[in-house]
Amino acid sequence: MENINKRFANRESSGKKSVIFICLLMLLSCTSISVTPDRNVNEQIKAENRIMKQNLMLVIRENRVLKDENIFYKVETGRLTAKIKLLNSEMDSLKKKYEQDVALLNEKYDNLNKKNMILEQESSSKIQELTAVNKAIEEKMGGEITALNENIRKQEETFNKERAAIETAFSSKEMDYQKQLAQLKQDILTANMEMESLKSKLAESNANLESVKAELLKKEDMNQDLKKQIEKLTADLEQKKDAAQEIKAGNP
Amino acid sequence: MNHQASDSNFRSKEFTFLIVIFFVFLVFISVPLKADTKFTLLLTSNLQGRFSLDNDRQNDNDPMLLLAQSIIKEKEKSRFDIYLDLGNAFYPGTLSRYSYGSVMMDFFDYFNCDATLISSRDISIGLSNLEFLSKDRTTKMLSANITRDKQPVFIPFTVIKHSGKKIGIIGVSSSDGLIDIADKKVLNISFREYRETIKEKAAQLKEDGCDNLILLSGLSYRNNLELMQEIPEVNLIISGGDSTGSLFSFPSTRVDLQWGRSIITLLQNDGYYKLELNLGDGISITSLDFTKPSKYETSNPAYGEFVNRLSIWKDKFKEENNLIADNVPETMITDETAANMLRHRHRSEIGIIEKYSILPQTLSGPLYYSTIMTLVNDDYPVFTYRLSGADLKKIQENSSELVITGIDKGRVQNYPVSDGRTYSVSSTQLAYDRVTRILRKHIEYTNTWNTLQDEIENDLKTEMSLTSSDFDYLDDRFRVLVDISLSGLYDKSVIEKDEGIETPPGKPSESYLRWGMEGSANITIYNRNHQLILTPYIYYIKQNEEYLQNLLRGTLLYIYNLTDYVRPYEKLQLDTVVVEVEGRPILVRETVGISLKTERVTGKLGGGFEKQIQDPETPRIDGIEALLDANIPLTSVLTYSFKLDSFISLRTTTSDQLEARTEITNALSFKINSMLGVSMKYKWFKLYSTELNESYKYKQTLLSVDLKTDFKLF
Repeated sequence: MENINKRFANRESSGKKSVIFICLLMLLSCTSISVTPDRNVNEQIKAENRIMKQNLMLVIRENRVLKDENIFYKVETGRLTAKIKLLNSEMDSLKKKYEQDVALLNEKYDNLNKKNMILEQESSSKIQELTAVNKAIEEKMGGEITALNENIRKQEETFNKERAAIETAFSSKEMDYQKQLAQLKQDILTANMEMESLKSKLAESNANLESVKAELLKKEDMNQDLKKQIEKLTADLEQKKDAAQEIKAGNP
Repeated sequence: MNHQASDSNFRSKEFTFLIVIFFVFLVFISVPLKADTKFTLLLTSNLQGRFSLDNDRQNDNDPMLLLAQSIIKEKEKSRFDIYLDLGNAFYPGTLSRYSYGSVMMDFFDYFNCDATLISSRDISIGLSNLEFLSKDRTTKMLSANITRDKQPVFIPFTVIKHSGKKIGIIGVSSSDGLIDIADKKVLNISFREYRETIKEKAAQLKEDGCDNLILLSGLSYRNNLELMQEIPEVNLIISGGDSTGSLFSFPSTRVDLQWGRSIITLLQNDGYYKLELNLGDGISITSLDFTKPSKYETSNPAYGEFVNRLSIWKDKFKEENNLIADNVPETMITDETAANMLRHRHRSEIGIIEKYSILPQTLSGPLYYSTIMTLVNDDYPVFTYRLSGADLKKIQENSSELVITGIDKGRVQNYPVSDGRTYSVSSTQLAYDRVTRILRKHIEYTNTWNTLQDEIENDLKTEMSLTSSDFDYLDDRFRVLVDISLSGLYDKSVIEKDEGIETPPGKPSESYLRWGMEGSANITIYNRNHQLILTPYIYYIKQNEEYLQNLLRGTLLYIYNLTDYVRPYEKLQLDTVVVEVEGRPILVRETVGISLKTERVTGKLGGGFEKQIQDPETPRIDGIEALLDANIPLTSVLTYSFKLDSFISLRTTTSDQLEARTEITNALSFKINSMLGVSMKYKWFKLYSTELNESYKYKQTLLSVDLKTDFKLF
């Protein structure tokens, strides 16, 4: 009996142990593997390290590129500065040359102005002279034309008067001759002969008239030539004036 | 009087005429205000930082410079109003990766890109780097839903003023993008729910007086259609970057919705699109044309400056193009090769990487840094972790986007994948992310803080496992597996023993009923061809001075994996007592035989001898051993198991006196969680001797709480 009690007591204690063991097993099984704070911190540091490493690489590489770019632009700036200097010196020498050229051209311009003035003077006296000649010729031609016209008028008047007198004489005679026609056949021949001679006189007078007309036309042609000469001289004068103005404006 | 009347009539006519003129003037003034405004966008997508690495004739050959020339040409001819990029511009172009996206950002900046959407591959550059690059630039990086402490990391939207109209442009990134673990940990970056974000931003823009809203989206067509339905303020969605543009598996450039709004998807990435819009009360699309870049001579100063900077980047890259390895044998590098290399370097059983993490190339001769850069398409760190066999099977079933090595026809190192076992895995963060999405659970991991590129570099500098012709040697590696089992049990043992027969070593001599403990450990050293299993087992129950159970057993089992089903084995088993009681009897059983193995049942049949070597020493008994071990899962948590351990022997070689020792165990186990279970066992043991015609019987009923755990040492 004692043995049984002992065994029972032992059974109770071992049962307790078993319950504790099972509880321990339960706890163990339900506990997930927790990440320790140290590991978390470590991971955080590694993560930061990765980011910083990447950022650093980016910054370093970008910096290197920008550095090279900077050097390139510095060299480029130096080159351009040297070029500017060269261009400045070239510009100075060109300025000097320009000033010299301007002085020379100004001198040329003055000379040309003077020449122009002389030419202007010369051309105006020539124009006056030619105008006077033209006027004299025109006056002379006018006088001659007037005289010739007067001659023609007078000759026409004379001729008309003579023709009227002859016609009057002939008409009176015709009346006489008609009355005495049969009797004066012999006289008709004579009268015809006189008529023929009068006709030749008329032809001569006409020829004279034609020659006077031709002379008049010749005079008119001469007058035209003179006018053309005057115009040509005037055009030359204009051209010389333009040349003088261009020289004045600095375009040699 | 009449005169006055006619005067007033005239004035009234004049007044009417003036009113008509004024009205016509008003109509002429107001018509242009209400008329549609032409708005032209130049769009690019998935540029991937495709800069060439050569300076020679780069104006003719560099695809990005040709694109730049075309953009300048379009700008000079005033053919667009704004230039937008739809994302994935920074990755995986070698030069862009080398510059951490800086050269691509310069491209956008120099060629007046108004905004670029941040997409999943862009994130590979590193969010902190992108954030750094976005500072003091004219080009805005848009993403409304990438947040840090619930605040957007990038600019959520931009407002463009055009012909008196305000156009709001919101950017939304695809949440498929994977944020680098470092960014996640340090910057607390996450994706915010995009619907709410866009609703909020659209309302804000409308309040600010925007006439039209355009959404730049990296989302799928399905999500875009949902957005159009949910947010009527959005007039137009331009999708690109991460969006595949597939609508019911068909690529679609444009979808017009019935309420007069549209979704545009930019499918091509080797040029630029020109989108002509009419801005009225809404937005109507006039045309969408794609153009491939072509050579255009330009004297644009911005182009000249960019070419200068690009040349410097290329020079710097060449300067850093160090020799990694000399005399590399001709090797084709693929995703599989890289995954196997991870197995090699991290001694893991399984290697997983995303498909296309490696651009397949044949390596040979001297190998430079640039080659490795062009080879690798995954810049996330490598993780190591453990997966259960069940998880592994699940991942394999959904592995269309993954390359998994180390598992062949459902076997790992020539052993069938066991659901309950865990397997060591190494993968990049990208693959890990996909694994967790498939399994829908978090998996504890260890971060190596090395990227795949770092791993390849280190490997080529040291072991050059990457150039191995095959990786079968990885399965020859020995691993050590330890299974520990502890049980708290309620033990009811009934002993029936004849007078003449001796109690076998460690077995009880009397019936009893009590609580007790049982513990065993299986230490398995194995590789593809060999298994060596050491199993110490203690079964010890003491009551007062009486040892109810006092068994200490050690088993050493060697198995040669000859074929999948038939495997020869050799077993040495020593049974003794834990505490010496009237001496320390030791029973040795040495057997050699054949093991037959199927998925659920393992049987062993062998011949050998048993000999008690001390206290007292008895003659050797030759005999036949038969072992059977079956595990049949009834449900996911309930398993039935059966064990038979039988040894039939002759007392001497000449006599016909038999001695049979048989132990049968039936058990029903209920799994509470991965480590804890409850089981009910019934053990039956019988030792029968024909010499004495006596037997020792031992029936044991056990109700136990079992703690089981297994781990691999290496």
